[in-house]
Parts: sequence; structure tokens; C-alpha cells
Amino acid sequence: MSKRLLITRPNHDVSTSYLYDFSKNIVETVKATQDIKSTVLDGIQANRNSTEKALNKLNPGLVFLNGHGNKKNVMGHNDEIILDEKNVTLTKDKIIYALSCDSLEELGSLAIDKGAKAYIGYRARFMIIRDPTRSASPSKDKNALPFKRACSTLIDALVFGNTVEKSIELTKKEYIHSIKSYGNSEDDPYGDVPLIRFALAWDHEFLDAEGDLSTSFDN
Amino acid sequence: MNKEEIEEEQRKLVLARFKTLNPESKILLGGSKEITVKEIIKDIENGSDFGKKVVQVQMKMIQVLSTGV
Repeated sequence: MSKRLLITRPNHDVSTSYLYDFSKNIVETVKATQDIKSTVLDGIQANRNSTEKALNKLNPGLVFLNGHGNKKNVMGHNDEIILDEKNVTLTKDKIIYALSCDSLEELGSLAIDKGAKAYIGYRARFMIIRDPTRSASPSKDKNALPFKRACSTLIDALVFGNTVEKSIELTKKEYIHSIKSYGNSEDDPYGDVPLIRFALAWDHEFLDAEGDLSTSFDN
Repeated sequence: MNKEEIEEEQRKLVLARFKTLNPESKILLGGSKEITVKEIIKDIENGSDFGKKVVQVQMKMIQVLSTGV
């Protein structure tokens, strides 16, 4: 039986355009992976109605939410709330990875109370340093690359069957590697490296999970 | 040195590091908001919750960097 993955990918402003780019590789990877059936809600499809339908009908084992968030909500296209206390019961028996701000803090705990297996997210704002001259093409933004690598490490690890605990460990190692090795003054004409290191350290600090950390997408 | 004195020294150290950066450089936060280095410095100086978290994270980052590659 194939494993089922749901991904939401809003793309309506600068922040979501970066997250959209960050998730491009995993979307392509799972398309080419026979034992994973993926449903991708792109752009305007990343709305509450479609997300609820997908959670109900497809019953995905892993749900990867990209978008704005706060302690109580995760948003989709045009910041429509797609997950909150009213529909969080739909996360029952699922692993949720919310690449959004703050949502682990309250919504994550609530999801676990309502039966989600695990909820991975951030306990504070998710930070990215961008090169303002590259905002129209996030995939060419070198400043954003270490953030993209960390986010990709986490979803790749989850998709290919690592436990939640191991996936977070691998991602934190990636953050540390980037903090230690990223750039130098010669390739940093705008002096962004110290700020990039700080933002990586911030994301490293506040990435966390609740629920059963020994669970995996295979279970 | 007591705990408060250590925290004050850490705050000064982090403040000094941020003051070496371009004050107009920005961090993209979720919600399409951006915060400038200048604003972060104000948060550290005012001792806001965000400013305290910045100090905490920056000190951990210094520890990571000091352990070598």
C-alpha cells in the first residue's frame, strides 16, 4: 500500500514565494517515487476547503504545511486559515510538519491532544535572510540557500521514513553545519553573513516537535 | 559575577555585535514582515521579550562558532 503525503504551497507574497521554492525539490522527488502518493495544493488551491477535503478523503500519513502562521493558526493562499482549533481534529493519526511561524506553540499542542501522532514546527517566528535583488526569483537567492537546505533536510528525512526525532536531529545538524561553514567576507559584499548565521541559529533554536517523536511516515 | 551581571554583559556583547552590522539589513519574518538590524538593536536595548530571545540565540551561536568547524 502506498504512503500518502499532502503538501500545501501558497505563493502569494514574498515569504510564501520563498517557502514555495523551498518545497519544489520534495514535490518533484515524490512525484518520481512509486510508493508515495502525493497530493499537492499549489497556490490558490492551498485553501481551507481543499485542505479539509484532502485530510478527510486521502487520509495522508504525513502533512507538510507551508505558509504564514501564528500560535493558533496555519494559513494558506491569501492567508486564509487552513488549520486551527476548529478543524485540528483532522490531523488525527497524522504527522504534521508546519513550515510556518509559531504554530507549534499552541496549535501543535492542541493537535497532539486531538490525536495527531506528531507535530513539527517552530516555537517562534521562522526567519529567512533574502537578497532583496533576488526576491523575484528565490531559487537564485544565495542568501536563502542555507535555509532552504535545512527545510529540505527535514522534509526529505520524514518522507523517506526517518523518525520525527531523527529528522529533527539531522535538520539541526544541517543548521549547525551552515552556521559554522557559511560564507566569508570575500563573498559577502553586503555584510549579510553575520545576520544569516544569526537567523540560522534562531531557526535552529526554535525548531521542535510535540507528540510521539519515535513515529515515522512508515508507521 | 551574579546571574544578572552575566546577563547584562551578554546583552552588551550581543548589542556590540549587532552594532557592527548594516543597520538597514533586514530579516524576513513570517507574515511578510521584515525587521531591520536597527529595530533588533532597539529590542535588545529595551529588553523586550524578542530582544531577550535574540541575546539568548546569539550567545548560543557564539558558543557553536567557538567549538570550531
